[in-house]
Amino acid sequence: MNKLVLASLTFFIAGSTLFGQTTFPVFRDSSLQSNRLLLNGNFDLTGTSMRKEFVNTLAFGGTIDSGMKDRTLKAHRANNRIGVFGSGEVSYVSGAGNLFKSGKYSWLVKGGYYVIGNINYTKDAFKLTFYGNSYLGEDTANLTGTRISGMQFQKAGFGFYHKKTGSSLTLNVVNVQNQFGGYIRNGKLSQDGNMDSISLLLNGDMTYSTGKNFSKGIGFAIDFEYYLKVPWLKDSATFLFSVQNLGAAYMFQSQTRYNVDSTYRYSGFTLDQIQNSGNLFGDNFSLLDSLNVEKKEVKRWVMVPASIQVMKLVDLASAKKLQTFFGIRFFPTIGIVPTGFAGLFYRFVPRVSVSANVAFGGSSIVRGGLMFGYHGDKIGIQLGTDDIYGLVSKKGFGQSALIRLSWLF
Amino acid sequence: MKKILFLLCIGLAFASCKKRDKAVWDTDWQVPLVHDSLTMSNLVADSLLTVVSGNYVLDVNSSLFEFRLSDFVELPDTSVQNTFNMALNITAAPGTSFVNNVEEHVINVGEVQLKKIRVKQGGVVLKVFNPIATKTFFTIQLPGVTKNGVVLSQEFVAPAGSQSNPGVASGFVDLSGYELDLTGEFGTSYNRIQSKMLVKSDPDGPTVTVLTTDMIVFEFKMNDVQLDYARGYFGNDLVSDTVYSQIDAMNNITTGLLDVDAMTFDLTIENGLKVNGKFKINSLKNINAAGGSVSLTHPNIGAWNTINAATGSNGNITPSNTTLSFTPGNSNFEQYVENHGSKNELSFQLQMNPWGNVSGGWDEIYDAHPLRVKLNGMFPLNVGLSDLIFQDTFALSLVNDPNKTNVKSGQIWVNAMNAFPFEGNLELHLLDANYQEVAVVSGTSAIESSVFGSVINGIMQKKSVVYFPVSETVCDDIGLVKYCMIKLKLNTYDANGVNTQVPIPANAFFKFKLGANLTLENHL
Repeated sequence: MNKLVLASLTFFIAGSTLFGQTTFPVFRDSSLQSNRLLLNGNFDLTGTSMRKEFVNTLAFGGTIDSGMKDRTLKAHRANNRIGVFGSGEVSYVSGAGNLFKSGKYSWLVKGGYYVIGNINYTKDAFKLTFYGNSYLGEDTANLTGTRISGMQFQKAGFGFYHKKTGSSLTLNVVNVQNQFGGYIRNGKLSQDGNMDSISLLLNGDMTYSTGKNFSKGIGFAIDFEYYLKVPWLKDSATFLFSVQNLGAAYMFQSQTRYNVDSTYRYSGFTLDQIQNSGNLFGDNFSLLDSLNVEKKEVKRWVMVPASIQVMKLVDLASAKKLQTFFGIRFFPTIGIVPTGFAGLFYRFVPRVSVSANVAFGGSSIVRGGLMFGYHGDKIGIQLGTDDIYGLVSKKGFGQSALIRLSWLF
Repeated sequence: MKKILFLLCIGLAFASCKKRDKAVWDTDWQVPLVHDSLTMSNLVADSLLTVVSGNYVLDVNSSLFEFRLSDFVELPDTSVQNTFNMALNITAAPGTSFVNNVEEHVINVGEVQLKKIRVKQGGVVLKVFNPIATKTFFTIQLPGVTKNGVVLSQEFVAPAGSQSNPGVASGFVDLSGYELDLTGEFGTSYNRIQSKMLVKSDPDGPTVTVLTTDMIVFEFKMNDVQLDYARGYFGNDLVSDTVYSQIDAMNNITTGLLDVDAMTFDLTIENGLKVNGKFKINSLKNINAAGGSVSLTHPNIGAWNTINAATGSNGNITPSNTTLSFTPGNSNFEQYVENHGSKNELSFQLQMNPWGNVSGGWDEIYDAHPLRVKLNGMFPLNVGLSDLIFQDTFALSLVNDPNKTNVKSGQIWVNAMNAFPFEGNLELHLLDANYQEVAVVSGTSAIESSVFGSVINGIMQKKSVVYFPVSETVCDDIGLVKYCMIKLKLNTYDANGVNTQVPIPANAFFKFKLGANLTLENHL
């Protein structure tokens, strides 16, 4: 039973490294032909149902007491989501340089570290993981639709940069440190009130990397940014169409894959079984065999978690103190609902601004964000959060922090 | 200043990673562990159980031990050589017969004088050695060894050879079903087997010279021969022996009283041997786990009992029976049983033909008709148990690492339906490697006797739910546990709660489910 519990926990908890996305405004300025060093750091942990106190304890350690569990459970619906997005990225744009004779193009280099993950889970999956099966009574726990996916990877790339528009195309080499994915197509756990038996219907699979090797897969990914200036009301506006991490990687180090499609009924052992087996849980015992779970090692191609975003930018060259920004972003290979966001940018003084936004969808439902910006001649700094409620209240459903630095020289 | 601010921001953006603590939470799990239904059939063979007046009775009619033909006669592995040397050097023309002799060979069976035997299983390997320089024909006969009246005869063709390098031929003859007349050439002796060898040179071969130094040899080896009949005189050795019967389950009864009814039974010596004899039980005693012993008493214990020979012929045997009846009036069998001895020790003496060879060598033993000592009796299972403690210890090693997901506390539960008139209190003593007590896990109540229940489906039964709480302290110390001692205290009460003897009703059962409610402390 321990193995079953641990397997359930591992499965669910592996999904606690989750998915998110930022909805900060992206600025458009007049430094397109300057050399720039850009640094981004982003951590976003968010969900539809897990409160911040709960997520924080899961992520950073501590005791999850029954009160915390109960409060979190109250916020759960039949189906829930939680995700994480973490990245650290450095890029250098040679805006002043020339790559070809035409003088239109230059180059850029970038490198970064990324953790992206998402889990869709049922309320019963949460209850089994954090309460056990005692609460279930004669009921049935529904696990159908629980899905987990994620990747931890690094990339390094070289790109072509269009000096006039700022558009770029970057080719990246991707090193996959860890990758996992799983889906319960049909899962039900039921038991009778007299505890005569426990029945498990399970149809699903789970694949994950094992070991501590830094490199378990290698691949490629394309980053593409296209800036388009269009008429906007009585003025004009610049839109950014961005594709990040569009590519695939080959997991050259075998991943462990479990497949199960069976119904198992456990009602305890008889004395004959105990007597004849000698040691029921000894070396010859296999819970996976008992559950008719197929285990194999696989080497395979996997998609890098790509994102596609279209958004209206904030123009720092504009004299307007108040500007709008909005956009939509989605991760097509992870299977999460798109995020729509919109916000206002206000510049108090020429060098200092504040932005507020609201986002719908993604791994959460609704979130509000706040950002402060410093816009110097050579240095730009943005600090903020995509989840202001999560920042100030433990009742929030996540937390987010982002920093962007730019240095012109 | 701007550069410092920039570097500071970089530092904040890529803040150093701190090793995270583990997230810890409790979950409550319920699991069934064991379920089964025990009846008397789990304790006693069905063939021994019968029902009298609605209650179980042990109906014992079994052989305690027996003496078979092989206990009296065992043919040793025997190797015999029949050799022949020519008296003169001769020149043998093709087809010359020059050896024709009969030999007798003694089978060593000690004091036993066998006149006739029949083989159940086994055979002989026959081998001939030819020193003559031409192909030679051997005919081997064993006179007196017959099957359906036909004498055993085997022919061999041995290749040409020399004295130093004889030609060899061999074969195996299955003796199953053969009768062996062991009275010798003149029919008056015993333990004698005859052989006859005929040797003829190849009729189509050359003329050869046979010298006096040429030794013609025939050899037979008899291995693993088992008999199903023997006639003769089987001696009158006095056999003294002690046999032991260990009933391990009795060893687990440490203290308490067992009370059974007075019983009557017969000990019968069934003699299927056509041999007279006498038999004596020197003693029969049992020793319990505490070292207490009880010797069975009876007027015939310590006295010789004459055993008459069986009657009949040609396998139609009527055994003789010598019966010793044990009754409450002439024996202490009740006390013998109530001592719940695990080690039973029977010392006896047996002597066949105590008056010598009075049959003139006409004793007969058929393997299918042994001498048996049989126990016949009806033993009512009317049992009284008073704080009888059944105790057993077994190895148990559990891992419960507090730094990983572990069992924090819990309880084991037993949901039982008991149709036996026994009440049981169960304790689990958890012991360390030196058998020192680490913890005791006791039930919250007893599993109650069926006498306190109600009639369901025609039988009294009582439901009990017993919990065995396992505290956090026990869980913390579980890694020290290397053995588990189970202590089951049994009592038999009547409906008024007075300890008494109770019968075990027919179809009595003990049906139970055992499970656990566990609180796991999960670590992530």
